Amino acid sequence: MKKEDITGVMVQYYVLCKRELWFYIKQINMNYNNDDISIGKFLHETSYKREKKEIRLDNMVFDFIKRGEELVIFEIKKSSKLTIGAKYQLYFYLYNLKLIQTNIKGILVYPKERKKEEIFLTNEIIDEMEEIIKGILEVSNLNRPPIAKNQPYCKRCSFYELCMV
Amino acid sequence: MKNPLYITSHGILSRKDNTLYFINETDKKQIPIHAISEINCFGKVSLKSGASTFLMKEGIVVNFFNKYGFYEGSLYPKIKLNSGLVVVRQSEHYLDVKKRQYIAKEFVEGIKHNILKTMKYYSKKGKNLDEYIENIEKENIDGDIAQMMSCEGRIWNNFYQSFNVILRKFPFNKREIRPPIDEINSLLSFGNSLLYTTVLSELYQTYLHPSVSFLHEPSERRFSLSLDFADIFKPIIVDRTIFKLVNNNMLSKKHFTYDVGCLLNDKGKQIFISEYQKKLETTIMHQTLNKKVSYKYLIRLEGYKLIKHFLKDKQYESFKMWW
Ligand code: SF4
Repeated sequence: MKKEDITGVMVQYYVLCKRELWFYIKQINMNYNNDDISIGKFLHETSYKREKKEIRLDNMVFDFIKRGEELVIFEIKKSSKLTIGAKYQLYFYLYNLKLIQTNIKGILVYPKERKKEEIFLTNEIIDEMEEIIKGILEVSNLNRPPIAKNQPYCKRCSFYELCMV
Repeated sequence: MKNPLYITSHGILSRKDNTLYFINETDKKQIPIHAISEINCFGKVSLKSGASTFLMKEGIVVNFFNKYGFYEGSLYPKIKLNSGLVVVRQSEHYLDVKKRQYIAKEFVEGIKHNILKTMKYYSKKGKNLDEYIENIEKENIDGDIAQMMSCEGRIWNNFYQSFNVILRKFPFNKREIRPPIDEINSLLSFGNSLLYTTVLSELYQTYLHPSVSFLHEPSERRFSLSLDFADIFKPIIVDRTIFKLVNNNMLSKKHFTYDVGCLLNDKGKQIFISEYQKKLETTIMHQTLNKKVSYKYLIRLEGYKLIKHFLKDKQYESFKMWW
C-alpha cells in the first residue's frame, strides 16, 4: 500500500483499533449485516438534503463543504459518543488540504443531537498525523493481524466474535 | 435470528416486486425473505427466474433434496465475502502437506472427542459401551491423510456398532448409504444431509472457500469443506437427534417406507426436521465469548477459528465439546 492509498476510514480505524485496520486493509469486513451501517447510510441520505452531498477529492469523501472566506468541511456523525475516530478522519482531510488552502476548518455535525464541533489543524496535530500515516503503512505491511485486546470498543465491533473465539 | 425454511410440498417459488411467494395447488404463501437464512426444498420445487435472481441477490442459499431426502445440489449465491488473502492462505494450507495434515488431524481429533463425549453420556446412563469406548480411545491419530481417514473410519465404525446398545429399537448393523437398508441408516443419511446444508449456509457467512478442504479431497463433487466441518458436529447434532427420536418413541415403523431400501416418509421427515431444528437452536455458555451461543452458531465460530489459523492469528483447535 502507498501513502496515497490511505483513506479517512483507515485513519479512523488506526486510532480506534489497529487490528480492525489490518482487517480493513486486507478486505476482511464483518459489517455485511450490521444495523449500525444502515443507520449511518440512512442519516446520510435524509439529513441535509439541501446541501451538496458527498464531494470526492483524491481519496477523500466529504459529506459536504462550504466555500466562503474560508473553506469548511463538514462530516456528519450519528452520535457524539466515540467521536475520536471521526475527529481524526477530519484532521486527516484538513492535513491533506493544507497544501491547497490555509484558511480551512472542519465541523463535525451530529444531526440527531443538534450539535456541532469545530476542528482546526495545529502543529501538534500535523506531527501526529504524520506519525499516524507512517503507522498505517506499517500495519498494512504486517503479515498477520495485530493481537486482539479486549477493550470497551470491542463490544460494538463487528469483529467481536472473530477476535474473541 | 434467521431460520431456515423447509419446503416439503411441491410448488413454485416466484417473485412479485420485492416479495417472494411459494405457490402450490392449494395455497399462495408469502415468504419473509429477511427472516430466512436458507431454503431447503424437499418437495419438487421450481424457481421462476425472478425468484432465483432475487434469492441470489439476497444471498440466500437454496438446497435441493431428492425424493429420498438426500442432498442433490444447491443454488449458491455469488460469494459476497471475498478476501484474496484468505483464499490464498486457505489454498496454501491445502497445498503444503504438513499444514494440511495439521488441520486434518485437528478435525479427526474433534470427531474422536465429540464421539467419546456422546458415548460417555450414554455410558453414565447405564449403557455398557466400555468396549467401544476403549477401542476409540486407543486410536492414535497420526500419519498422512489416508491413514487419518482410515483412523476416522474405525472411530465411526465403533461408534455405529455401539448404536445397538444405545438404541431401544431398530437394529443397526452397518452403515449402508445407497440405498439405506434400514431405519437407522435412513435416519443417518437424512440427518447428515441436513447438517451438510446447515454447514454450507454457515460457511457462506465467512470468508472461507467451501471447496477447499483438508480431510476430504477438494476434488469431491460437493463443497468438501462442508463435509469436513459436518463430521465434527455430527455426533452432537445428528446422532443425538436420532437417539432422542428413537428412544423417546417419537419415530416408529409407520414413519418409514420400505421398498428398495428404507426411507423416512413425509411425516417422518417433518418430525426429524423439527427435532433437528431444536437441536441447532440449543444454546450453551461459550467459554471465551462469555455469552450463550447456539449449536448452529458454533459452526460459524469454527469457520472463524480456521480463518484465524490461516491469518497466523491463532492456531486452530477443533471444536471439542466442553460440557
Ligand atoms: S473486536 Fe476489538 S480487537 Fe477485534 S477488531 Fe474489534 S475493536 Fe479490534
